[in-house]
Amino acid sequence: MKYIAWILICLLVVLHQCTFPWQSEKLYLGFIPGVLGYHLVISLATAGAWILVVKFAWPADLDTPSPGEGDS
Amino acid sequence: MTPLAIIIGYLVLLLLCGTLANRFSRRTAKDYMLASHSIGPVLLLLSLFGTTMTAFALVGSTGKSFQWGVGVYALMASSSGIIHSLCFFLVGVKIWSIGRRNGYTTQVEYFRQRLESRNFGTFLFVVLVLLVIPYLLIGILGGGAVIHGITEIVPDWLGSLMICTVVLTYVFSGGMRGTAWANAFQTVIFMVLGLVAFLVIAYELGGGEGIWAGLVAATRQVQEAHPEKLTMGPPVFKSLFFMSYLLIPLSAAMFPHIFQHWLTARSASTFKLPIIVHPIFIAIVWVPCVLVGTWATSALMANGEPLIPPDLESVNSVLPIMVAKLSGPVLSGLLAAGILAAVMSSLDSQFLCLGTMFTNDIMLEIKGRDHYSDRQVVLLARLFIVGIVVVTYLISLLKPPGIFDLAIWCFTGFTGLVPLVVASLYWKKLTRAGAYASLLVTVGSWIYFFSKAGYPPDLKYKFLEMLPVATIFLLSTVALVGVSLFTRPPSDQTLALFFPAGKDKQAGS
Repeated sequence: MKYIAWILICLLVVLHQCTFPWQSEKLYLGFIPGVLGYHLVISLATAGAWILVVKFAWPADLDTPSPGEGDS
Repeated sequence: MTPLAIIIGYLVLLLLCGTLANRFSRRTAKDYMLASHSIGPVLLLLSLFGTTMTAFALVGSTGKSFQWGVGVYALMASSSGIIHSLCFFLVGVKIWSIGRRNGYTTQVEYFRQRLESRNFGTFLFVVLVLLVIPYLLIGILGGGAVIHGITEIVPDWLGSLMICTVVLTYVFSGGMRGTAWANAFQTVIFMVLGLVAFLVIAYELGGGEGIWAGLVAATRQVQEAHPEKLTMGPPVFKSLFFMSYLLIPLSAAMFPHIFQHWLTARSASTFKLPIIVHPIFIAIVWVPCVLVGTWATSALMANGEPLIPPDLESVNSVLPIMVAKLSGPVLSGLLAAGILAAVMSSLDSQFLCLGTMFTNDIMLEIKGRDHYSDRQVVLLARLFIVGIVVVTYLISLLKPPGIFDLAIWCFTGFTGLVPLVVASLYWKKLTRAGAYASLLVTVGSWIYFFSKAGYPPDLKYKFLEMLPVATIFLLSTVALVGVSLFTRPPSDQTLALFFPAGKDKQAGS
């Protein structure tokens, strides 16, 4: 799963560079131009991919509590 | 007068925020510079986002979309969503862990120990300060221009002075805690006000028939008048140019003020929320601004005249003009407050960071760590912050030409330094000579390309069809790896501080 999460991030970078939606004349929801809609989905998918990375590829050895520190 | 009253009211609120944060201060240098490593996930998310998003996120994005269309989102926003979170995860979390373990406050301190070189730290300090100062000037000048543009009675210099005074006051009194709180407050303000401006503009463009009808009508107008603004393609968008832009947000990995924010985190887990939510926040701010900028190309007034003249020179004024023409003075004042929030949420961290670096990396290094008491260290940091604010304000009075176009060159310089921080975290074989080579190559190639682009900088300047940042980044990496392979790495004792036993696999040794 750890590797799948990272592959997803790499895939998003590749999809970000794709030029196929550049000339799209579609309008999503009647007002979002095709290429903007495509990149908006990339932004949302990025958040989703980071959820997976954080869940499955988080370095556990760094996650030690910090004693003596209060809340801000 | 209404916009001015709103701006003043907002600035007073900020001062209260700084004063309140001061009440929670533990009166120690660690608290003043790093908020005693007590910042939780929500505050870290808001303060990191507020710091990385400058006024460009509101006014610059709208202006650029007016020129280039919706492709600006792909060029600058969705890429930042991926790359910033990558920087937080791969660099920020590791820096936090090592920084907590070894007690660092600044980047220079970190590199001095990692490379066993005091002089390298001093060299890096000079480079970082030179790269941050234009960035500061952009904020001060931009803020003054916004106040002048919207109130029409406050001159630029007075607007800049107001901003400097307010930021100085809450950074001076509240330190990092005050900065983080003010950043969080300002981030919420500029996100909410940006959305409100977007909805009001959509409503008005739709002739008052409702927000949804307005959204549809505004885009339809562009489809009829300027369909090219709804797609991407040459002459502005070409594959190699677009690809090289991906390196610009990488600069966040080497911003000294972001480094300091990372160290304020309560635990490594605190980073999880910023890593996940940062791309969504970028979308929330950028999508409305990009749409408003694109709509501005085709929006018409009741008499059929264009709302924004197509030959408008100062594209950064597109958003303020749209708001002023389509709404009343109240929204204009609120929008000004939102733009100032975006400006100040970056300025405060930069001021604090420079003050901390001068204190920590220069004064304490010269006089010795035990020379000053904790109280004296805080006093020194405060005095340096005052000094930096005064100097940058005085420089801003000279109104250096083309200063706004320097932003991309600041980011280029920071991106050139990214191989250094990545190698320092993941590659045991990085040597002092390799780091020097990388830094020198970055500085040298930056100066070469900057001189080629001319001053004021030509934003259309490309090398091999790409932004110069691509070449600088590549040369910096080659120099770092090439020289490191043939020189002696730091001692095992030093490496043990950065690559503790059991983490060898991660170190890539």
